Amino acid sequence: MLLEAPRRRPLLISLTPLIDVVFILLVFFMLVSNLTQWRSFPLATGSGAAGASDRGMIAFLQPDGTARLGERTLAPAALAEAVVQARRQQPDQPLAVVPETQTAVTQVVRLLDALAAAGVEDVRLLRRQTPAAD
Amino acid sequence: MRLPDASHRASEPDLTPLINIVFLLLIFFMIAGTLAARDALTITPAAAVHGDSARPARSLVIGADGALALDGQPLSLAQARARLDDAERPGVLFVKPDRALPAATLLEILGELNTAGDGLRVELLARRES
Repeated sequence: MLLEAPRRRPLLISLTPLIDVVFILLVFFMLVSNLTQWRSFPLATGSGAAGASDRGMIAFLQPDGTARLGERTLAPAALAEAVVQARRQQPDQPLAVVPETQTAVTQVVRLLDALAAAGVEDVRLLRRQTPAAD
Repeated sequence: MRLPDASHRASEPDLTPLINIVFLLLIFFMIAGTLAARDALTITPAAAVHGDSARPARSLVIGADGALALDGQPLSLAQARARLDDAERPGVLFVKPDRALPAATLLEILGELNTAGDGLRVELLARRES
């Protein structure tokens, strides 16, 4: 018995235009889309200038990234630890951060990052009153 | 002269795996990337590990010198305030400052934008660092 050899089915549709279009789409999305991922920190800014209540903590953020809390000068992680300890004794103690004049945003973000790592979310960011405005 | 006949074409490499990979890449970039207008200002954002992950659709970009841009066009402070006072006032304003911007300037700008005093919610954006 002689069977007919299986013949390769001819391709009905050419795939080349499809590949062309898909390549163009790929290049488009690679060029246009933005893969940067963002982290966000809620900012409570003082509407009343520097009107921090006296029972709260005020940290003055220095340009080198350390913060002055009372008489102590602390690195961001140590400040977060101090805030957590203070809140353990007196919960819901408000925390205000006052950046000094030369302090850059990157130091603020670093501090907020350390505070968020310790679970401190409600931070008020206050503007320092210039002495002339007092 | 003998021309190569049509049966030689069968020995061409199979394109199907290539198409599969390209399709996968295409779907990856379509899903993982965000299509947003390019910012009018080039800034270097600060980096952060913690904080909430955010996919801001639009954000107020603040350059290191305090220049403002919203929706891909530079603005003055008064224009930005007018834009935010419009009907399409966002519930949350995402702010994308340059890392070298003085924080006092940032707070000054935010204070100016919030003169209406109706509690504009502000989220500070930083680039995610693993």
